[in-house]
Amino acid sequence: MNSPVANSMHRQGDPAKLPVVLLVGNPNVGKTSLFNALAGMRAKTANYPGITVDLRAASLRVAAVDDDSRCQATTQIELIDLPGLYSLHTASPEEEVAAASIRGEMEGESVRAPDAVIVVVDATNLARTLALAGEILDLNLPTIVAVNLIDAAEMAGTEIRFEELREKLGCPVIAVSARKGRGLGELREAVYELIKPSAPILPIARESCVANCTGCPFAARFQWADEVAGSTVRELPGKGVRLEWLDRLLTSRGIGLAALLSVMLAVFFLIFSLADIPMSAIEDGFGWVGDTVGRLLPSEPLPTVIWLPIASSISLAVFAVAYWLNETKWTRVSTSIAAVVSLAIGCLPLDDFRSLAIDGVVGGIAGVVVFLPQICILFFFITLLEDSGYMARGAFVMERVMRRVGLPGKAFVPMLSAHACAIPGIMASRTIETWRDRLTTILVLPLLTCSARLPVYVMVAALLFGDSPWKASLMFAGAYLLGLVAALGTAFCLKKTLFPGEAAPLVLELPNYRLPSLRNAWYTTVDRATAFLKGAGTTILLISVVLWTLASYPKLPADRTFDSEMEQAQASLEYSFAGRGGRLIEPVFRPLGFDWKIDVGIITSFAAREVLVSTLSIVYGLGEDGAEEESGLVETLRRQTRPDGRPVFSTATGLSLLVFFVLAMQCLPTQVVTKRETRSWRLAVFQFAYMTLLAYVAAMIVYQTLAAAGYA
Amino acid sequence: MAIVQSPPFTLADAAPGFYRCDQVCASGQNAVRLKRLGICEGRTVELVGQGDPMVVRIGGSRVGLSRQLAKLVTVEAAPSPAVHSDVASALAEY
Repeated sequence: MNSPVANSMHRQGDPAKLPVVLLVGNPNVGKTSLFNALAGMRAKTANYPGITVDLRAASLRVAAVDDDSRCQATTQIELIDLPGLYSLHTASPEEEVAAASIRGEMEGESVRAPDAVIVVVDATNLARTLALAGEILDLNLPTIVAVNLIDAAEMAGTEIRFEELREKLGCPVIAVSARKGRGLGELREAVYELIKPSAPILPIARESCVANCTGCPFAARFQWADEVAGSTVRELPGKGVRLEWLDRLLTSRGIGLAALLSVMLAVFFLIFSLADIPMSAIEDGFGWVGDTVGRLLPSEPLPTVIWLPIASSISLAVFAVAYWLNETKWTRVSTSIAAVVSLAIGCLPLDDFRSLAIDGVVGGIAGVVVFLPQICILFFFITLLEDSGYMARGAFVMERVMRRVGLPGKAFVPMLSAHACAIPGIMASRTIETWRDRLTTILVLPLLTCSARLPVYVMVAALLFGDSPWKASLMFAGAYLLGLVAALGTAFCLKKTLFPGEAAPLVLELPNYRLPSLRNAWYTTVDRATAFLKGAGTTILLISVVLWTLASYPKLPADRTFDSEMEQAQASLEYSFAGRGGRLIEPVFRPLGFDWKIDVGIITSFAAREVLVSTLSIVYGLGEDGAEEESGLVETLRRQTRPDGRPVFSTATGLSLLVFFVLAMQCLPTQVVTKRETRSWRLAVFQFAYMTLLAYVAAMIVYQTLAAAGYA
Repeated sequence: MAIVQSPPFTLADAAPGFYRCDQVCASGQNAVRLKRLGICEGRTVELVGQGDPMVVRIGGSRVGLSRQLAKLVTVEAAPSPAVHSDVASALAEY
């Protein structure tokens, strides 16, 4: 286990060998607030290979006590914020990572034991939160106990006798308030005292907290914690706010559910009304970047001797940035891929290079970044709700509903989030403790109607029910409901087959209500957004370049001439791999009522479903911008006829297309995030396969039924 | 205070009030998940809200608990603890 001698070896010099200080504590004790208060913007998310958990780490300076700052001794430490845990006996993958880190058993880079542990306990609930401290003290690691929320405890009339607590625990005890910034200096000093280079290295042998107890080890811990808390805490009666009535309401059957629905509706209203502004700003911004790139490129082809090195180095630079973001190492393979591809790009004709840069690269990056506003806003509000203690009540209320399909109550947050965008939903499913419940939730989330489907819904609604608003709204409601029913039904089936077993029954702490901290929400949001950009960005960029290639090559023969640019775009898309693919797969989608032009749209919307609208606009000869004028596109689509004179977009085809888009997995970013969260490409592929199959079969049933009824 | 001895029953069948946990018959993960939140042998719990899931209070913390797990916890009636704990729970409201 811990060997104090080994600690001294990595105390100086090499930054990778900074002393490691772990921040440990129960969930809901304000551990992450404390981390943010100590680390601020210096925190970075450390991604350890082989584990699903992102740990936040920061390297920071701790100092000795000295009035004169010039001769103050300091040392650098690596502070790591571990996932919250109740006990070293763990019940979720996150807790297992935390426990293994404390025991120094982490695989990979952090194999060594921690140099010090800060156990965060809750001053307003000392007895319960001290139990974990007891377990960790028994490991005989250099330990500090930080009593957080001291301001809240004082407000409620609680007095803690710190001298006695120090004596009982046999380690430094510091009163802190992460919110008010109280006690942070003392905490840094205490850390310094534990790990300072000149500290005498003495073996630590505390008396075990439960040495004299027999029977249930948990009971003994709690009894010990009760005794310690009982003899050091004095409560002045009559102070404090009672919120019991609120809790009774929020956890009750009817009102609780209604309250949850209204809170969530409010959050969604905020997401949709707030995200619009940054999203259109991002689209405009990338449009401007595309124009600028177009203008910067020379208009006349340069001599190859000059152009080849320029184009190749631009491409290499893009590779370098992508590798850096994705933390890809420059191995022999990755370096040669970058070199070969860059050289090939250098050989492209100027027009192709321009199109690749603007449509492939800038367009691909824009396709990733445009998700950010919704992801950020969603995480911001979810973190606020979680901090306030309300989320646990929400999971409590939803438990009854979600159990019917075999999912735990906690799955409701991801499922609601997925109605804005599946990506934050999948990232939010980390709170689900049991691995198989979490996998089931992740697999069904993309069935829920996200905002990227809305342009397609709007198009179909205008096409079929343009003259009847109430029919159109009925169609919208039906599409949402279909997604929800499909998700819950699939979850039910998955829990019966692939991940058998009931959802882990609910045992959930309902933490005390607290005022949430904006700073915490901000840091969590930044953290999640960076994780998304780094993890998914590169892959998405790669695939969008591949799709660009499919839609651009082979080139039209040079001898063909066109009356207008739109016709040329239409013809070159038809001539490309994507166009040929559309014709090739036409027999496959014929039972769904799609013609080859719709099939081209299905191919190009593989990576992002909203692309369908602009693709249809191109294949029907309106040019890319035709999609912006909705009525023009809809009119053109209505006029399309089949060889036998029947319209292409009949009610049957329109609804079949709608059902296909409700159920199909056409979102590459989501797939990449699924892979990231499940650490398995297989599950991502399975997700794609089952959703596509489901979409195909459902759309076929819809088309064939309606066609038989005469709506084709 | 005299306690009326009654045959042990489970937390799922209990009315709101204070109980002492006799035995937790859960196994594996469920046992860990119950016990690490303080629902373990010899501890006093207060049933606050009945139903499925139910709300119990253990010391200063409140825990939501599914009926399915409550059935695995045998309890016996316990005297309501001293005023001291009442203040503790009032504090927990804060």
